[in-house]
Amino acid sequence: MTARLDDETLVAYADGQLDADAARAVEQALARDPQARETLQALRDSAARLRAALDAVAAAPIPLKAVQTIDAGFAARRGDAGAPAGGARRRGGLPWPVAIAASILALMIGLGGGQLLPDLRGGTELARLQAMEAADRAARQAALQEALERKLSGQSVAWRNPDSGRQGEITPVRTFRNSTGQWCREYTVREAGDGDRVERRGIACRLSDGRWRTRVVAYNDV
Amino acid sequence: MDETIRREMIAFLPRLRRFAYGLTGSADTADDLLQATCERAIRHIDKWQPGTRLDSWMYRIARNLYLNELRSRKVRGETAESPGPAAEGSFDGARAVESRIAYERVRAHLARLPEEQRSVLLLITVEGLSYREVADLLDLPIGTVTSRLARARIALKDFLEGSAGSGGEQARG
Repeated sequence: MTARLDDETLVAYADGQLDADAARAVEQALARDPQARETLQALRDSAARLRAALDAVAAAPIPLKAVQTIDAGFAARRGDAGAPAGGARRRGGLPWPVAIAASILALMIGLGGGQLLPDLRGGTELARLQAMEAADRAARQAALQEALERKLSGQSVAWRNPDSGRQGEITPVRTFRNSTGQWCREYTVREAGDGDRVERRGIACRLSDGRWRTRVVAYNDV
Repeated sequence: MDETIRREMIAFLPRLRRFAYGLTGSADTADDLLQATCERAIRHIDKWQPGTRLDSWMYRIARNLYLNELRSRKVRGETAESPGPAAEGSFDGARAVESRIAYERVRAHLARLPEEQRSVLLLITVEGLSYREVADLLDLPIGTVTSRLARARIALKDFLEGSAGSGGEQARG
């Protein structure tokens, strides 16, 4: 008989927070205690479900205003004229007017939330819309890869889907290496479709197979 | 130097927003908190010590702002914690409805936890900080962090086991 594993020890073990000796002691106790093994598994499962529930937030685009606040703050530190700290001033070089009321809706439609549109249309109409959105996505994705892989910062790649009328332009603005040595690029996206205009910014890093994976996206919410 | 910090800060925003969402329980409030945190971090960037973790520093700012907001709402006599209805689709446009239902249950449970347990649970279990980092961030002894986390983790486990057993509505991918 040994002392029962208490909750704190079991949780710390599940989190990999124990040192080697303590972890070994827990493993010996676990070997003799089927109930504790069950609790350990349930602790791991519930933690995974908590993470899964919140991961959608980390994967979603962030408000551009937050990025602009940071940019404006650092620009002010560099002494750039006319860059108020904390303001949501647009950076230079982006000539499009940015007046986007329904940016979330635009984003949902633009990024494949189209199945959530009211089902008033017939099934074929819905299928046609979904196909159009899929074509938008494919064109956008191809332009993004092209821009990140082949264009110098400041050079744009434009795309257009004649069926949906949607068009956009993707421009890398900065290139850098991240802490793991990957090449990463910051880019801007300007896009217009049926009555909406979207401005987004992103950071993507290059995987070893040559694909670019987007890590941060910010959308405008002005 | 500044350019490195700027990029690090921007790259950190999705995780900061996730933390804000877990704390506040609503998309709109989370985005307000995100914005307030960025503004304060920029204003006080000189107080951040190079060589220490920028993310911990910003988590701490976010949590302090959140606590201030809770306190001032209490003073105004409003409900201290009132996570509104989930903003449909704003974070989750393309995901299946079933994952949203599963998420709603977890979110409802998070909102019922005392703030001191919620912060520790989010920072360690979701954001992946170590016990030591969270103890430093919250100015607490590590033993307090350990016990708060254990209480929160056991409560979460019991809740999910309990709700999994009640009826067949559990969403499975």
